[in-house]
Amino acid sequence: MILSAERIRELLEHPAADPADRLVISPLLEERQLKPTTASVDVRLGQRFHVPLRAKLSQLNLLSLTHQADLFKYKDDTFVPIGDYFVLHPGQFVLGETLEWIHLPKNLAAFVIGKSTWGRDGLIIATAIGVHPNFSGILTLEISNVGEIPIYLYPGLAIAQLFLAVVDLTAESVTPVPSAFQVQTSPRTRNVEIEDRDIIQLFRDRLFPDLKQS
Amino acid sequence: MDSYRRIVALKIQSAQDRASAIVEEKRRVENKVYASPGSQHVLTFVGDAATKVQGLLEAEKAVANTDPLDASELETRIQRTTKLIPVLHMLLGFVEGSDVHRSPGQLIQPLRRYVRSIIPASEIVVSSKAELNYSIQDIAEPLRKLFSDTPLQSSCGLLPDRLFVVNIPAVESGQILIHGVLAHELGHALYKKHALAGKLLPNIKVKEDLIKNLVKVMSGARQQQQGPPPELRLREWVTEQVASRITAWVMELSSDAIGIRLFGPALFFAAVHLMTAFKHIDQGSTTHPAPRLRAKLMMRMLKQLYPVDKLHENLQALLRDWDEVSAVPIVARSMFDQLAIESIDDKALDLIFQASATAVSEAQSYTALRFDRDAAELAPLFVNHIPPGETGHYGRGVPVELASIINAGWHVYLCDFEALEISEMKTAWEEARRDSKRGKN
Repeated sequence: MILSAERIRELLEHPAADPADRLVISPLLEERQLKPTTASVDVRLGQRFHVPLRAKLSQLNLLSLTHQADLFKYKDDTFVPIGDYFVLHPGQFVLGETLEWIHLPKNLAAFVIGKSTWGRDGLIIATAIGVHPNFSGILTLEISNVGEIPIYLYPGLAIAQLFLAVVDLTAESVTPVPSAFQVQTSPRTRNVEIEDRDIIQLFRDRLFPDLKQS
Repeated sequence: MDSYRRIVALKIQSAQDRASAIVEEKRRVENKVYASPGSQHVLTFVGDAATKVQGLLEAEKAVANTDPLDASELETRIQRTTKLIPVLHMLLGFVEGSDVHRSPGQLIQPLRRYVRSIIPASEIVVSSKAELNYSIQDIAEPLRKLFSDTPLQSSCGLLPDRLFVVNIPAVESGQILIHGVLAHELGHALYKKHALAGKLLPNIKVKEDLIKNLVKVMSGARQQQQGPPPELRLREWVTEQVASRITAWVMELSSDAIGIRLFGPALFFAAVHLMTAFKHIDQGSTTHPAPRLRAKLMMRMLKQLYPVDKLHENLQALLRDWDEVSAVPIVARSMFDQLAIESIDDKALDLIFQASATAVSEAQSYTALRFDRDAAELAPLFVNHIPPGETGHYGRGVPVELASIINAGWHVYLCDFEALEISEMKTAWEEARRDSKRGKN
């Protein structure tokens, strides 16, 4: 079930006694972020942008053990003050962040969706849009300009919307699920999960047992 | 004289080059984004002053080419302007370290609000440097003094009443809990503002009998080595050494006392964590007393201001340990230090404790009630990774004060760290990784 804006407002303004059970979207700067009769809350563009340095990175290999270290080393972190802007050129991809800190209780999940106002100008906000229960942190936005004209991005503008859905809890699902992006405070990248590398190794060993490493 | 005039021409040209370099550097530095609003004040001041220096030096050329002044007068005249150039360099250095990549942005607003609540009409520049030292110094007043009666006096109009440069160690910039030490630095500003030295020092007497004994021992030793010593001069020198330590140490201890009143237990936790990391517990310096003496004063204050026996058991255990450790007599590393320690006895510590109350109003004091409330209300938010919130929904809330944030943070660190790790789900994530490596998944 998707929550209505009214229900979201209720949860925000009358927080649960136990902090773990609270829905937090902070700061909410104005009431317009929760429009009546809608089913989402607007979230704003934050101030930090994480731009990979193309001149230094020859490839992105998510299976490489140095992938994250390379991205960390060869990146340009840009801070844009409120009132200033970041120009996103056609074909450019950057990681941005939401201005808001999000905390989801165990019974809520969220979906980050771009706003059509921006989408019509060619701006894609997020592709990996799911946010799991118990998440805490700012949301990393995968922003790209698929249009043909540069777009000015102003921190503080409502750039995406967050849909909240109730999670059907079972007794087992009460235990928090590990999340690699928990408590992130700035746009973050990471390697693929170690399990995925293990599976590839497993396939390789089965297909070519004679090449199996001792 | 002709040779000197040629040197003067060179001096002016060289100074003009230095001033141009400052203007250029200011343009480059201006392109960065600064976390502290005070940085802009400093940049405007430096730009204005450097441009004026350029203009003044141009005018000096004409004076240098005429004959009315002799070499010494000319040197003095030009020096009035050129001596200000290094100051502008130093100011640019403060600004350089205050950009968003080096200063913790999250600290700026609460700290600025806090400083302005204590000293209205002030502004801050938070700057980080690669040195293990916290400091807060007002640069507006010294700049006004330095520039008074100089042609650059009018540039000082661009400065706020008080402009505090807050220096934090670059490598510790992300350690918000250790920044509790800033309360001690704020204590320095209040110690000066309320002229506590005048109230305290006359009541802390150097112990004359101990001085006499020390002089006797020293003169005896010297007699054997160098013949008869001038005992009066020796006594004067010993007294001076001890008195200068007492003066400096009382200032440091008073700043600790004021800091405890401003930030409560957070200053104590931050100070002992920072001090124990690299300082010998009984070793003071000419400017700072031994950490054990500082801990002793802070413990005395905490025991009187807070219901220590009702705090969380982890806090009680830590405070009990420090109480025992600070009660052990200090074995100083030098005789002068020992005499200063003997003079700053329990009575003197109580005087410092009482005097600190005159520098901090009740509204500014971090009370036991606030600590209880922060531990009960704010700490659980942190455990669940919920930020305290600057303004609440639609700006309706009251911002949480810096002292509350740091105290609640210490409470989580010392009492609920396991819960924090669980809510961060690090444990579960690390476990999943380990299982994967072990082939369980």
